[in-house]
Amino acid sequence: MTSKIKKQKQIFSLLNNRFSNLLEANDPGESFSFEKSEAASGISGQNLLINKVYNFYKSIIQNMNSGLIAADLEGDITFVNQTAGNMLGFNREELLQKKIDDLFSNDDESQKCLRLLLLPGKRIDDKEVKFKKKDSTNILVGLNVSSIHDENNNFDGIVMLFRDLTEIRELKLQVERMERLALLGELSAGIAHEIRNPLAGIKASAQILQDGVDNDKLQNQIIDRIVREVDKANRLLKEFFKFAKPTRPNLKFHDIELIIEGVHLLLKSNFQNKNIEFVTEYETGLPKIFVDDTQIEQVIINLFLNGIDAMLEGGKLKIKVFKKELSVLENDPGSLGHPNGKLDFVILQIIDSGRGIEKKNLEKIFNPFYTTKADGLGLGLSICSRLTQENGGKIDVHTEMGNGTTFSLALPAFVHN
Amino acid sequence: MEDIKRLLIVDDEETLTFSLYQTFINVPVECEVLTASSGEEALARLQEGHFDVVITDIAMPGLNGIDLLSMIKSRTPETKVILITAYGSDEREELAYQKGAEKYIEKPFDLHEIRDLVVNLLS
Repeated sequence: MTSKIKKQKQIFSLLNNRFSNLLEANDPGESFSFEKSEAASGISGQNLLINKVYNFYKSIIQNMNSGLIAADLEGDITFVNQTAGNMLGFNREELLQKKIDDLFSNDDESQKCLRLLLLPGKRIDDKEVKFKKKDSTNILVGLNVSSIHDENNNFDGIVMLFRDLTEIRELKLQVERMERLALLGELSAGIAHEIRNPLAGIKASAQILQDGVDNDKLQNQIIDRIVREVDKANRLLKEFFKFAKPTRPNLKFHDIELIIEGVHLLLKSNFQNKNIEFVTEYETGLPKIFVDDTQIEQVIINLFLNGIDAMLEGGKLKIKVFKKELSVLENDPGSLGHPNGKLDFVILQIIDSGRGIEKKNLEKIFNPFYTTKADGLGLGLSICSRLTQENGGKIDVHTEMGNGTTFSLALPAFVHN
Repeated sequence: MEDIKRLLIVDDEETLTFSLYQTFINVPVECEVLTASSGEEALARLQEGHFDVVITDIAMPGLNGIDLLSMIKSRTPETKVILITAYGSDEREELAYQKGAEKYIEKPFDLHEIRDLVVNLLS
């Protein structure tokens, strides 16, 4: 215990030294200027100053809203503030008997955190982890961890700062529930709209037939239209179910060039008819992507067709493919649970030279049933977004009125579930 | 001799427009029936000549039926406008009447009902 108290004093002494340097640099800020004159009055004045600074930091650290725990290289807890104790249900003395591994509710999680710290310059920012409370329940915290170095810059331990995320998580869940309800409302309204339109056509046509049509040609025309409207309603429902419940992706490694070239071949006549030039730019040494090739092909077909539709008077559809390392954040859609690590993705950019998307419409384009096309169902991009997520990827859009639109797909080049 | 009445049907749903057209070219009121598949096309028709009745869908890409109604009412307030919609809500209905709609009808509707209403307005 004595060594732990010594360690606490060392931490404060470190902080105090930094503060004294600030004073000497004549840049203490107005609120501390009185301390400088006291410091100047000799050794007793210096002690007084040190005590004041010590108490100042102590009161900040003990009263801050976040929990603070420091540990030495053996993992023994050397310092805790009051908030940490309150959050975890222990008193400070009890915590000072523990090792930091004891705090984590999941051993793997604690090992991951500690391993990261062995790498020079590595820190952990805002990672969501669960700590074990005294009553054996868990508490979700946002954890920041950084290393402590001694006066010779040797790694000397770690300091963990954490805040209680229980309330934030509750709020987040509440918002998600509300968003789901809003989406459900939006979807129901969208389906109602898309089904009632063909129904209106079918009913009106049937009533014309009911009233009697003496022209055979017209009668057949009306019957054809009824059949067409039924097919249209059915097509909508099929598309909708594709959106609502896509099949589980069959993930394997695939060559993205082959997928793109396959789609181009399929849509070759669309490019030619609209006088659109197809240009590709592949970075050399691209890794294979770990996706369901049929689903990603569907996404690319949709994005190519959108690009073609955006270029009314011809133009150029440029495809740029390159490798990029991206952070995979936990709790992010499409996330794969890697702790702040960076992983290889293949970025596919589909750049059209069309009219661009108006800013006011941009946030709606991924919503189901949103469309600006006369014959569109408004499900294309929402399906693209859903399928990309299901395949562990991300979709993004950048647009400028008059300067075209770029859709970017980030597709994983690593094994994931 | 009395002027021939004019009716404009506006909807991007081709089958419904076709059915309404077939219905109104056979009503016992002498009237000219024209169709448009978008709000913009309807505006162009309205600029070419006066219409006694306009039947318009609300949700169309581009100019929607509510905005078209406002434009018609500001230019020719005597034109009767019937709004039809597959996306019904109390708020929309209230808004339609506030902007001067003659009638707000939800899809799918009874063809005879809309026929009788329009014949009545044209007579």
